Amino acid sequence: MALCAEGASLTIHHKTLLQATDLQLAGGQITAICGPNGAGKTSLLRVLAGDASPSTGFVSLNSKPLARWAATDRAQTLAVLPQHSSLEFAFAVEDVVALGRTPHNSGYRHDRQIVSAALAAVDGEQLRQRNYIELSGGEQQRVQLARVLAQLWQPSSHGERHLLLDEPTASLDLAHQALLLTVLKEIAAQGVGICVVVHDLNLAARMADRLLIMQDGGIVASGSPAEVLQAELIARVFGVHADLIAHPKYETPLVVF
Amino acid sequence: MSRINPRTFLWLAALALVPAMLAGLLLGPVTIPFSAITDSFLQSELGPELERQLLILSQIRLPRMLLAALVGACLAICGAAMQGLFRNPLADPSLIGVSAGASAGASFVIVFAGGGLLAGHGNEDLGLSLMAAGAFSGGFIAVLVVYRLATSASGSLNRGTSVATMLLAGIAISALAGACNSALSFVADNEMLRRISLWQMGRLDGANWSRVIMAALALVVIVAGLLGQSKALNALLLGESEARFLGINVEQLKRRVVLLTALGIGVSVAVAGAIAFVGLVVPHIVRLLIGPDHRFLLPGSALLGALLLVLADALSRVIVAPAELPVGIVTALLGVPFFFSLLLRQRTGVA
Repeated sequence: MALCAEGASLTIHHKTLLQATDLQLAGGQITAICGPNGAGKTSLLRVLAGDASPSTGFVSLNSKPLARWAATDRAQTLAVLPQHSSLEFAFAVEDVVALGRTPHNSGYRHDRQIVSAALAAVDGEQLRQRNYIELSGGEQQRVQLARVLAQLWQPSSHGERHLLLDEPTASLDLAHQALLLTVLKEIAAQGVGICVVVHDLNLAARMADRLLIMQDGGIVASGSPAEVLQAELIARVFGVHADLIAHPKYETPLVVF
Repeated sequence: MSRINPRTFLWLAALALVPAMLAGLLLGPVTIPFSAITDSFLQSELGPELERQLLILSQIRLPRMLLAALVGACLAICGAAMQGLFRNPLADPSLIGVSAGASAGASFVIVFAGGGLLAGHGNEDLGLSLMAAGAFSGGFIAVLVVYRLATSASGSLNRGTSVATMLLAGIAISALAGACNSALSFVADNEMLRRISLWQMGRLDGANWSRVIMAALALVVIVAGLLGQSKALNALLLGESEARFLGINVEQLKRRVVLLTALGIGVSVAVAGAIAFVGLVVPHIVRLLIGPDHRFLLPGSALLGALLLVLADALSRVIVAPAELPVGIVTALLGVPFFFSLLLRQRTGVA
């Protein structure tokens, strides 16, 4: 019962975006993926999400190959928050969040409660009636996050739920980055497996149970943040000399440069 | 956001359609009093004047008014669905070349299959069906080509369709269809030429009962087919990948919408020619009033499209009576100011 990639690779136009990768994402665990631009983070996420079918190998969700899932069943079990969203129609914020309930047949009333709760979770109650396309980038990102939260709000009858997020913090201010951290920890505590691409190594270290570092389409390091974050690795992968110090409050290392 | 309750809007639009349809029946070069309708039911003895009026009503005005309503509804709902499919409010059948493709298809049928058919007047139904099939094929090819071009140009990242490519592809297809039309006009004889130019202009004065029935059948199929896709179209507005993540069978959805809109535009073009503007402006107005939710946008557009075209057609008959303006001019005169005022109000609301 997990989201698993076995030897999954992705080659588009003779360019290998993702080398054969084995990965197992367990429910209740937060996995963070870091790496330089073009390292294959988004490709890995797309293969895991079923958005791109792997060129070799395969991906399975709860022991069943991803391609064999019925579309609605899968959507009740696996949600994805892409890096960019291109919604250009003037939906009210609550209607955007309600789109997350599309794969469920839980009724209008029930859906509205979930929409409210999901908006509250991302500090977005006051946005409820606003026009989505008039929001700032960070507000839109929070609304989209609320949408995928609403999609996975209740346990699925098809096993462990998984949530994949591609740079959800890109346009968030400090307070909302902290909020995202709390939200992800909360839903992980409900048994949802989370895989998140982030650029900030310190944020990744704070949220992740497991940290993956990617380079040139492959995973070059994997383990707990304390194991993975070493000055030598950071220099090799990112080409930046960094120092590591102990966090004054938490047990995670702090990358300073 | 200051919007009307969608259900209230649907009721209001349906109610407003009644007086508009009455106006469509009674107004024209020969103005018919409302009493003619009531009298025809109440009086057993019909005078010659009343007989004449009833003949005008049943043979000319009624089919024409119904055709206007059906074509208006058809164009508007297809415009709304197409804008959802392209995730772009500028996707209008006439802007992206679908109407041009459909008229080229219709012209093709007129020239190559029509000679014999159009000569004998008894074959009107068969000729019309063939023309609709031609228009449907032309429109279908046009949507398909534009959609392929517009979506592949934006790359593999699924960032939606590219507006620029979509409009440019529309221009290219319109030009190609225009060239086909010119070539067909070149080889056509006088009778065919008259038919072709009629189809390109977009007018309702050829209305008769077989056209009404064909448009009605098409509209039933389209409404039934599209309304079931409302939720999927809503999800598609987020993007193709996002819709897939929400459990939507995107390929199937696209196939259905392309087929249904090509059918709608094809039949509209076959029965009334290419009436521009309705498919662009009506869904816009409805969206500004009640928002982009397709569950209400699609039926709302159909109702408002019917209303707009019935009124426009009635006006086109009285403005320069006894002559007639082509209905396309009137739709523009009616729609554009309304559209601008809504846009302006929206802008000031934002600022």
